[in-house]
Amino acid sequence: MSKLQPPALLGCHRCHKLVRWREQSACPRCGAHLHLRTPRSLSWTWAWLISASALMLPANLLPITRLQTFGMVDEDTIFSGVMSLYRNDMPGIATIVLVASVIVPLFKILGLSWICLRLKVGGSLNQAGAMRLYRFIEFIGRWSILDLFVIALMMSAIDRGLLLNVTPGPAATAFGGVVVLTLFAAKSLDTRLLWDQDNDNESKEP
Amino acid sequence: MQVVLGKVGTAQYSCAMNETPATERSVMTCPSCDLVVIIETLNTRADGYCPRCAEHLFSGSQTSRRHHLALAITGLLLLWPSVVENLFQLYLAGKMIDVTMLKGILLLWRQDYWFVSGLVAWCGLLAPLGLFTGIILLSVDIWPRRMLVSLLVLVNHCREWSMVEVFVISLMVAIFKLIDVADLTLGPALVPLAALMMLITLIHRLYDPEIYWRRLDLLPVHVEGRGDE
Repeated sequence: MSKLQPPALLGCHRCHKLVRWREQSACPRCGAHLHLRTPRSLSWTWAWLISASALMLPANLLPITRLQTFGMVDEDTIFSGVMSLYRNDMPGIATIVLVASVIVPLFKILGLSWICLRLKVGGSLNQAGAMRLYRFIEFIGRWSILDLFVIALMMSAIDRGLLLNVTPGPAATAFGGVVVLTLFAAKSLDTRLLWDQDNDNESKEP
Repeated sequence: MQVVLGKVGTAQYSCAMNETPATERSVMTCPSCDLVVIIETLNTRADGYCPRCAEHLFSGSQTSRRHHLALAITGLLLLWPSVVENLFQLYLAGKMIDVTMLKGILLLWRQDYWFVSGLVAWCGLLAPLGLFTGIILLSVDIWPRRMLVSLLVLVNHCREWSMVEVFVISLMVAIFKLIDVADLTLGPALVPLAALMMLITLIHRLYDPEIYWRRLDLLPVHVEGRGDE
């Protein structure tokens, strides 16, 4: 708590009212508990990131869709689905699916881990660059849910009972978990930590 | 309307200000980087951005609650047809199949993929629904303090989680995947869905929670220390 001494000016994290911060005080307007930096923001972000990385494995290795034709079952993982789109001369669609369901989650996890690592290790940090990276991650995050929407649509389109049928595979749940957990990870990172001049982060998490 | 003038310094160093707050919103801290910025009221409609980290600080669009209400009612009217009407029809193995968003959600649920089903329902249907109903409820003045805070938090969550534009792209992907395999006819839900996408973008641009938060100042004072969160 070296530099962050009360009474400091603080914008309420919920309603953005400018208030004078004291220990244990609540926002006079919306009643939220005031804190200079989100408590344990880095720990939370790490927790979400680790859970998301753990789910990346089943999400990418297990089948995400099952196509049943006359009793025969044809299983597709995310990657084999993309490959078959390439083979069927749909490179544009294949690229959209590849970016949304493989590259975006991977990039989010790596990018956020990099920011967290830099905050942990300290040293000089390109603050504006890190902020741009964070904003980019926040912006692209929502797009990874694309594949789940596609599955929902394909299921409702190819639905002829035993004749011809699409059902999701276990990877769908894992992939949904990756999407939600990476969104949580991005949300729980308090970007104000990036702008604290000295990178002595331990002391900034009351 | 208002314009960012410049920085005072980071929040923790600028305690020497007067105890009485300056005029409404003339000073604020950036929620992303904690910079204290002075905002001068000018006669422009530009949005304000943080001079240090470029965070969006306030909306310059001078919209009122009535504008938001009009947008939300339109959204509610568009949401229903885009969810239950046909997105496209597929002629497959001798039978016409209707494809709707609701059917996809229900089929996922019936296959016991309740998490995926819930996620699709939340991002494609419930979050927009919550956004519109929340804004409509905010347009009346009957809410006690706590209820108003919860409503604003709800609308904020729904705004972040409504992903109608992603659904539209997913729809295109699905259509392109199927168009070679089977006879496909586009359905009537596409028009309200496209309108809904544009409407939500418009709400993202124009909805300013600050005007609702300010109404809290008019309500009886909150008891200090009784904070939730």
